[in-house]
Order: sequence, then structure tokens, then C-alpha cells
Amino acid sequence: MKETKKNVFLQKFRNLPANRYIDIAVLIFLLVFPFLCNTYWVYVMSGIMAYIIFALSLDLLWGYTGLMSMGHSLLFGAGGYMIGISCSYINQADWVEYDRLPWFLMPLSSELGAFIMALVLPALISLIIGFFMFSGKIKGVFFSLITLALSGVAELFVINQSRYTHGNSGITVTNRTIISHAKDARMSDLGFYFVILLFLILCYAVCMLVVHSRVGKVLQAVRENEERLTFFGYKPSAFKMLIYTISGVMAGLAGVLYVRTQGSVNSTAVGINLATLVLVWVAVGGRGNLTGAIVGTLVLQIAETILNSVFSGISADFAQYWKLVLGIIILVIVFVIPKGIIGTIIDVQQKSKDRKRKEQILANEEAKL
Amino acid sequence: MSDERKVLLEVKNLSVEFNGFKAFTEVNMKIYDGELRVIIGPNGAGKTTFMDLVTGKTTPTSGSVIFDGQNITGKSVTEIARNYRIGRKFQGPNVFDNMTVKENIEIAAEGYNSLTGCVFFRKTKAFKEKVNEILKLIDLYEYRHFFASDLSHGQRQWLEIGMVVAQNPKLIILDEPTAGMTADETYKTGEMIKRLKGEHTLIVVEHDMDFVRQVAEYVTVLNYGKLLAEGTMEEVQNNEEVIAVYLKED
Amino acid sequence: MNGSLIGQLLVSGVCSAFVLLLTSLGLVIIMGYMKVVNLAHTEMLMAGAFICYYLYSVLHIPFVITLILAYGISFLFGMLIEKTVICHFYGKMAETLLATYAISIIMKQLALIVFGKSYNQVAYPVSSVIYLGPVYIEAYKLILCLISALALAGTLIFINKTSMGRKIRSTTQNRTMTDCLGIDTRKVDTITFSHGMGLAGLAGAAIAPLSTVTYSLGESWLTNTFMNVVMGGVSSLFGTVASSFIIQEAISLISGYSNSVTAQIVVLLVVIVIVRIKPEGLFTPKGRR
Repeated sequence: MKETKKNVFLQKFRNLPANRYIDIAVLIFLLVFPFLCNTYWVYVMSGIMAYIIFALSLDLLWGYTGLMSMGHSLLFGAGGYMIGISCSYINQADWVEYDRLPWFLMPLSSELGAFIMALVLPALISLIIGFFMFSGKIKGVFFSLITLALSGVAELFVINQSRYTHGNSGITVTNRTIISHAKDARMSDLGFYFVILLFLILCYAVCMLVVHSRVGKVLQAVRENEERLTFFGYKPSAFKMLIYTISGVMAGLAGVLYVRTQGSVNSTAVGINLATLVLVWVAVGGRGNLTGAIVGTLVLQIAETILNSVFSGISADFAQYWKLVLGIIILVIVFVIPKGIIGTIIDVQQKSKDRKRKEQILANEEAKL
Repeated sequence: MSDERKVLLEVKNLSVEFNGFKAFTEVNMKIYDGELRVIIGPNGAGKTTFMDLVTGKTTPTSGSVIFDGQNITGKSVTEIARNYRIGRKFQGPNVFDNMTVKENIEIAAEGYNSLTGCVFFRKTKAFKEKVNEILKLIDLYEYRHFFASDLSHGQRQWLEIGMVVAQNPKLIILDEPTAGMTADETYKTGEMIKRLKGEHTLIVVEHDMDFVRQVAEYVTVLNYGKLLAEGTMEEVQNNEEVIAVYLKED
Repeated sequence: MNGSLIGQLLVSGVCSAFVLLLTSLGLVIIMGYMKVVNLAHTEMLMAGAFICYYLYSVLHIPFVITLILAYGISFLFGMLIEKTVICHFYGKMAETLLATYAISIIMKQLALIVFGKSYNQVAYPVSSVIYLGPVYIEAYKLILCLISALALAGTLIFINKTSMGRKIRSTTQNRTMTDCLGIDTRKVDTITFSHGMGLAGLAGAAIAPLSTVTYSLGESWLTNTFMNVVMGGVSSLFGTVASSFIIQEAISLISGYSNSVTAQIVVLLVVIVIVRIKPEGLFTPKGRR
């Protein structure tokens, strides 16, 4: 009995889609990684993991629902700035000149309130934007353009509101914890790395849950053919608003974690650059399978960090060349493997499975005759 | 045809205009519960417009649509599909391409199409059995793990029929279910539709006259957005007006 | 707030509206006639500004000829881009966005690598200032309005009166049918895209004296041009004209009372509310889909 159970498990394991093995491999890699490298890399990888959460939140929206948000950093930055503002207010950073926060930012005067606000504000933003766009039947490319414009304006706004955001210089967040702002509440790099990994696993689990639920299937149907869905009695706008909100909360969380690990937040966190960068990660990895978002972020960010350390000795302007390379990478991806790295792997596996099934069906039919 | 049977769908003086073009003029029609009605008519006769009006895609300029005793004129597509349970199969197969056959059927399945319905949905044994039953009805059980985009044209047509059946509607509207099918496939589709007849009320719009003869008992002929004739296949075939505009082409 | 200040704001709003119209025109044409969202559009503005700087300020070529050359060079560049990249992705929205975004960052980074972070000034071709009662206006801004109007008129004539324009319209209406009539729709696509890029280059050259010519010039136009497209819709150039005026007058008036960032935010939010009511843009004719 025990033997057969084990066999069933093995059978199921063998039938997993290819990308699940990659997920497991990435998990093992992330678990072992901090023990194999120095503190600097632990710090770098913590930031990358926060970015992975961000990429996952975009994949829910773009890969599964077909809503290509070109301004997703708006939600990421909204989360990050809540922590930043709260931290600078409570710790009374030297540039802070105001005595009281405006009423709508009052929750930021407590540490827990800031954390909650950092998740609620992105949710509210996405809910409101979602309401106006989805119930108004704004489709496809207009959603992308409006979110792009929102992100661009948000960047200007953040710089403009320097009273609270410290303008271009951004806010330094000196501690490294999830909730507390106390200056001495500083976890070790390693400890915080695992905290973030825990959040990453949690977010991944939530994504899997959403994607494999009926809601997730409906979202895919929205992506495939929204109008058809209405003839089955669905109201696509409700589903789109739901996923945009979930995605917003996740992006906000990613923002919080990123700010906490990297120790600062500035206007680039809400800007167009980050918004398009996350699109690139997801596009390179492959959208609509979660693994793509993870692998895309991991590969590109690690590559950037390594190349940066290699070339910074040779040329001080490494960043500009890296962006150029990034542009070329995107072109290569859309030309050669438009489904992204992982998407292509899954495709190959699916095709071979289909071939086997087809052979089976033909064999069955012949047997009948 | 006795008029004592329950009327399921009734359109009264239904008209619609697009920028001055009269696509549908003063049409009156009754569809009875349990009936299989075939609507024929040349291109531009208003067949698709009729379906758009009934399913809520188009709002009529005047007149009303009464379904199951309730006025559904001007209600949204979603509401009509969900609350009044009218299912529609489109002309070209209109399915969710990058999803498996099984997922397609599951999405269409009745009763879980509200947001809360989806969130609290659990795959019960009864649900699975129903999905399998439909997969067998449309002869795609063995193809259930294939993506809809990998099916043949005919199979995609069947898949969409299956999806509409899964919706368990009171009224099923099929727009040219045999378009682009081989003779064998067309025949098989006809048999499929005959099997559905007992359980559902059906409206079938078709061009293929052999197919119409195979399934039809009562036929409505539309021409230029107007009702031209109604009757049994035999009556319609012998109607001189109909012969003049339509059947002579056959 | 007195009358003359409001008058000043209105007048500068009109000028900015013409500028916005000019800078959005190429984008709208490519989007309206080809259903391609060209994210490289604003980088083409930047390139046009650099063309203007080198031809006019460095080589001292007359300004009018500089503008014509800017259009020509951008047209050829557009042709190259269309033939090598864009033509592979027609009908694929996400791929087009990614590809044009890739082109845009390649253009921007190349500009950064080649020209560095230098800030270049282009002198006004006409430096006089005209006074209309209490309201003043730089003569060059009037010329800009003229250039903008000419570009619009030229495009309208090109689309509506020439045989190429007829081909462009028929390709938009029904590609298969146009193909069947023996018209090379591939060539039509190339011309349309190149014209759109040409207009972007022209616009970039024309606005160069107003702004600092630097590698990041494109970025500053991104929000406004795309907002304009969203609000005006892409089905008629009239919509673009109207929305350019609405957006810029609103921004100009609001920034007179507070600041330009607040103005932009308010206008963007209003645009979102407007597209909620009219999803296809303000001036889209109603009809059967």
C-alpha cells in the first residue's frame, strides 16, 4: 500500500510541467546561495528576490490576464514610499521640516500602520484605476498607455512633493526589518535574506493558488477572448479589477521589501524605467507561467550585477552600455523566442506530449476498427 | 403546430437601424419551448442581427424581446447569459485558443460565472462527471488535454457547441454550426444537434441545405431584415416567394 | 489673478497646443492607420532635435532646409526600422510594444554614448518678441504654430488627396481586399510608418530651440504625447487637434494657479475619467462595429 502511494507520487512528479522542476531548482538555489557567497551578494540577492515578487505580480496581470501594464512601478513605488515617509517621519530625518503628516497619511505615524498602508495604498490605487478603466471597456493598448502615463506623472509628482519625499535625493531607510523603524533594529544580512525568501515563497504560493483556481482560468479566458466570456454570463471587468488589486498588493509588498533590503527609496521606484524593466524581465523569461518571471528577473539582474563589477574597472559608464545590451536582448527575444525562455521550454514539452497523445488516439482508433 | 405550447422566446415588432440602414424591420416571431427552429436566409438577411438582438449584443431601435415571459430588451449580454440562460455559438469557432479543451468546457459550465461563484468554486465529483459527459457528447474526450488551437476546424466547432451545452441554457442559438466542415463532420454535427433537441430549445442558423433537411422541422426564412416565410420544411420549400429569393440558388 | 495674466496663459496654452499637436502627429498616424504603438516615437523627437542641433547650430544650414532634412533623414530611418523590425510584428500588440521599446532604449543609449550627457542649446532662428496689448509672444513660437499647422495640413492632403494616401486609407479599411487589387500593402505600410517617423523627426527639429538638446529629451515628451493619443483617439486627426488644445490649455491654466506637475496630474486624471465615458477617444464616430 505504501509502495503504491509512493509510486503515485512519483508518477505525478514525472508528469509535472517542465517549469515546475525549474521552480524547485530555483528554490534550492536560493536556499543554498547565501552559504556559498559573501555578504555583498546576499545583499544583492535580497534585492533581486524583492524584484522577483514584483515580476510575479506583473505576470499575474500581463501573462495570465493579458493586461500589459506599462506603469506597474507606480504600485511598487507606492508601497516603498509609504515605508520611506513613515520611517523619515518617525525617526525625524534631518531633512524633515513638517511636524504633522497630512490626514490621509496619518497611519504612517505608527510602524504597523505604515506596513498596512504600504499594502492598502497600492490596492486602492489599482482598484480606482481598475474601476475607471475596466468598467469603461478600455482595452488592450489603451490600458498600457494610460498606465505608462500614470507612472510618468507619478515620478514627477514624487520629485515635486519633496516636503515628504525628499525630492530627487530620495529617503534613506537605515534599518532592516519588516515592521520596526527603530534605528538599532537591524537584522543580519543573512537573517533578512531568509525573511525575504519566505515572503517570496508565500507570494509564489498565492500566485499558484490564484492561477490554478477557477478565477485563474477565467482570467486566462479574459486574456484569450474577453467578449466570448460575456456570452457565458461572466462580467470580465470584475475579474480584471480583482486581479489588478491582488497584483497591486503584491507589487506594494515587493516595494516594501526592496526598500527594506536596499535601504533607500527614490523617484526611480515609481518611474517609467523600472516599469519597463519589469516588463523586460517577464518578457525574457516568458509570460503566463510564473517561472518565466522568476527566471527572467534572476538571470538579467545577476547578469547586470556581474557585468557591472567586471566592467566598472574598465569604464565608469557601464550602466549605459548595459541598457543598450538590454535593448538588443529584447529585440532578440521578440524575434527568436517570443514566448520567452521558459515559455519556449514549456511549448516544446507540450508539443511532445501532444504528439504522444495523438499517437495513442490513432492507435485506439485502429484497434477499434 | 398547435399554439397551446409554451412560448419560450417572442420578438415583437423588432427593428434595428445602423446609421439609417435598416438591418431588421418589424419582425414578429415565436419560438416554442422544446422546439428546434432553423432560420435560413441569404447573406444580409438579418440572421446575425437577430442573434445579436436576442443575446443583447445589439439594442433594438424599437420593439421588444420577451424570453420566458420576461422582457429582456436592452439587457446586457452578461445578464442575459447569466440570468436568462441563453447560450450562443458563434459562426467561426469562437473558443479560448490557448487553453485546453477541458478548461474550455469548465469555464463555460453553468452556475459559477459570478465573481463569488468562482472564488468559492470547488470541483465536485458531479461537476467532473458532467464535464466528461459533455466531452464525450462532442467526441473530444480523448482530446481533452489538447489546446483548443491545436484542434481541427471541425473539432473546434464541436468544442464550442459543447461549451454552449455546458452552459446548460434554456435556449441554444447556433450560428452556422457546420461552416467549413466536411460532409462526414456535418452529418455528425446534425446527429449531435438532434440529440440535444429533447433537452434544449434550439435555434439553428444555417446555409447548408442538406444539413437543414437533416435536422429541420420548422423553418423561418428571413430576407432583407424582414420575415419572409415560416412553416415546415416542405411548406417553405414550396413557397414561391422563398423559391424566388433563396432556394433557387441551392 | 488678473485678465492679462489669464490672457498670457491662454496664449501660451495655444502655442503649447500646437507644439503638442506637432509632436503627437507622427504617433497618431502610425497608430491610427497601422494599429502600431510606436514607443520609439519620443526618441525620434530626441533624434530630430540632435539633427537640428548639428545641421543648424553647428553646420549653419538654413533653418527651413534643416527641417526638411530632418524630415528626410527620419523618414529614411523609419523605413529602415519598418523593414527590419516592425513589419514582423503586425497584429501582435505585446510584441510590437516590446520591439519599439527596445528600439527606443537602443536609440537613447546610443545617443548617450555618442553625444554624452552634454546639454546643447539651439538659438532661436527668429529672436524677436511680439506684443499683443498686454500679452507677449516669442515670434519663433508663432512660427512653430505655423510649422505645426503646415505639417497637419500636409498630412491631411497627403492622406486624403494623393493616390498614396488613398492606398493608405484602403489598407487600413481592408488589407486583404487592397492586396487583391494589386496594391503592395507592404510598401504602403513602409510609407505610412516612415511618414510618421519623419513627422516625429521634423517635430523634434522644430522644438529643438525651445528645449535643451540632450539624450533624455524624448522622456520629457512621453507622458504628454501618449496622453494626447489616449484622449483624442486615433480614428481622426480632428480628435488629436481638439485634445491637444484641451490638454495644453488645461495644463497652462492650471499651472498658472499652482504648478506644472499638479496640472499634469489633474489633466491625466481627467483624461482617465473621459476615456471611462468615451473609451475610443473623444471624437470617434459611432457606428456598427
